[in-house]
Amino acid sequence: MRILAKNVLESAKTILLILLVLCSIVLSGIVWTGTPTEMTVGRSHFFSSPLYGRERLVSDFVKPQAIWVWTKDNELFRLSGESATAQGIFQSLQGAHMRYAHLITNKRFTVPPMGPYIALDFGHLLADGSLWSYAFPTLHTNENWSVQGWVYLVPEVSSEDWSVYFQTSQGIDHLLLSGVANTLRSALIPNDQYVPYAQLAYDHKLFNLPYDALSMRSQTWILEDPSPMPIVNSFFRDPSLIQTVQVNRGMTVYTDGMHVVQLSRELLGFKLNYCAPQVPLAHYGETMENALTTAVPFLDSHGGFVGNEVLERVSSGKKLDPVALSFRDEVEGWPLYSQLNQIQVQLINGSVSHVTRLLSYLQSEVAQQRVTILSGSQLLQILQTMHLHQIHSITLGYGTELQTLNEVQVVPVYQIKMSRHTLYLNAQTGQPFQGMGM
Amino acid sequence: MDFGKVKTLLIVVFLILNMFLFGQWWTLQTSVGMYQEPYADELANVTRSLAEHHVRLQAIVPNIQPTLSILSVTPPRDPFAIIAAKALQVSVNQVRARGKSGQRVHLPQATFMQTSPTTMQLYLSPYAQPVLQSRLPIVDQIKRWVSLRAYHFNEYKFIGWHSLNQGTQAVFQEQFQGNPLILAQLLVDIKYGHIIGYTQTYLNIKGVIDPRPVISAANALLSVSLFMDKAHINEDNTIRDVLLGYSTQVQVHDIGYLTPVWWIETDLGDFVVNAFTGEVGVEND
Repeated sequence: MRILAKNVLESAKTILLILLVLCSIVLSGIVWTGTPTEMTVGRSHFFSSPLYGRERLVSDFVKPQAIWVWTKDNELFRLSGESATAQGIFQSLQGAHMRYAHLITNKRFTVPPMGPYIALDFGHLLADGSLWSYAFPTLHTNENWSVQGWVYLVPEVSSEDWSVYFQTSQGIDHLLLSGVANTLRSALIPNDQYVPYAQLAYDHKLFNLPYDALSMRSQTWILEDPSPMPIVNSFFRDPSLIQTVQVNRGMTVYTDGMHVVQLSRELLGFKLNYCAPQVPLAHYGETMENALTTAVPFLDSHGGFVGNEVLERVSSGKKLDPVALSFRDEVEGWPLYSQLNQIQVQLINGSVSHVTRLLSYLQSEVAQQRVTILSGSQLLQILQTMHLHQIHSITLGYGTELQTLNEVQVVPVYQIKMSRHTLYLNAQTGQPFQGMGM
Repeated sequence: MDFGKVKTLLIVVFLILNMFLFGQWWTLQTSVGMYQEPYADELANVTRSLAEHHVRLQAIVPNIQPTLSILSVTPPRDPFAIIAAKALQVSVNQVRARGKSGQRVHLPQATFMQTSPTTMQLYLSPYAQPVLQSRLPIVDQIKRWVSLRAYHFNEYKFIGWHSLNQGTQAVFQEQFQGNPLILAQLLVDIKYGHIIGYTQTYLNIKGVIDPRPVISAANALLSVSLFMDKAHINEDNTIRDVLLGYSTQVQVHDIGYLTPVWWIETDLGDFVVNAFTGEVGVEND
């Protein structure tokens, strides 16, 4: 009887043990699979590609494209924004006290005024007035002046103060500048950073052109062709969603269903086109300040800036049209007319909707040669022989030419903008310049 | 060796192990619950945030987070003649004989045309327009008539009516695995109790890539609120519908990409929120 009871007990213990083993296996499985793992649905930040370009500030871009100085001896000089004298002028303006004087309604008063002056050429940057506080931070006013043309700084004869004049749609506005450092007055005396210019007439129009046959540098630069994928990925919130479409041998399209990056292989390197389709909001009006403060951080985190880019143009058409910004590089304070180091951005509803840029860029200078360029009067003689008319502007700068697969020649050129097209002339020879990527 | 004692020892060991594992499981359950904000609270926060922008929420906000994919779509695979023959209820040869331009067929009873690679239209001549019987369910009659003609009608679902200046439209929407392709609609035109034709947008789902969970509707509404902040939108507005589906955002040559979106319909326009990344776009402003 005891043996029977013992057998029953052992059988029960065996069954219980089996159940416990099974239970432990099941519980182990539940604990193993039930442990929460971190699940990422989408990233909250874009990631930057720090090896490509570098970050810039919004204030870096609100500065004159060029500074023009008219001396007491009635001589005209051009100063690049990068020169030490130009920096001195900016610093003087930062420290000076600026206050509003009045609106000049007298139609006999015109700008530029008589006598010496310093003229700041902001291009169209101050056209809607929203960037005024970046240009002149010491002036505290609620007024947003829509400046047309240059801003003139004129020394007062009877005091140390200066007057500021600029044209708006209402008339000529007059501001007073006091507490100005001596550097501003000494800027009226030319030094070796000043390029002598002359106002020369052509086709019933005045053009600011080099007075002398200047010496400039023809340079050879190494072209860097970076790997495109880090920068392509940076345009997508979640790169794991990217779908790739090979359109043809030279073009690949990347999309996550909401944004598109088109990468095409060109002679100078990869060209990137980013597009984020947007329907413009009916009420939304974009100021230049909004556009710039959105575009610059966006570019900082999407490849960054690769040279000494300046803001060439901000344009907005009608209210629903996108705002377009164009950045281009400068070489020694002269504009670089090239697709290299050029970035074009469009904004809709306060967001960047398009970016176009060539990913390859001028990395380092490896050789240089001094060349003497044509003076303004020599250039005008050539234009006359070419029978060119309806010229809007003539500016001196640099063009680019591909020498070898990774070497680019940077050559002084004259850019001649006409009503229908733009012509480039080699500034040394006066021959038409067929550069690469211009 | 007494095997009975070993069994007793093992029972004790496994009992302790199971108690430990059960404790672990219980801890996990309670800790996960701690991080989960109740959906009603989440929604209340979103409603408050929207109210700050003068936006009222008058819609049912779905509490679903299914696993969806990006879809690639192409135009209908079948040749125009086959689609047109079905729509016109004639033979393919008759279509080929009459369709000179290749994208438009005109018969005495009806005209069928392809206005874009994905959009087709059928217009019936007045004498060929079927009359809807008032004693029978209208939707059933329309479905019966259009199912014989429209391309892949079984992929469409009736979603409602559009009122027009003259007449109404019965709206059907193409579906993929139960979710609507928001812009792929079949609109049947009704006038004075007659069916006068239809306009159909059909997207052929070519590939399905990368399924993953979408963000919640509450999160999508929060994204819209942040977008309103950024775009300075503060007009009085009301949200009427919140819908999960697929929307065409991008066309790369002949392939379109549909991404899962939360479609948020308001009185002043529609917001489209990418259901993976939370990025906001505007439609029909």
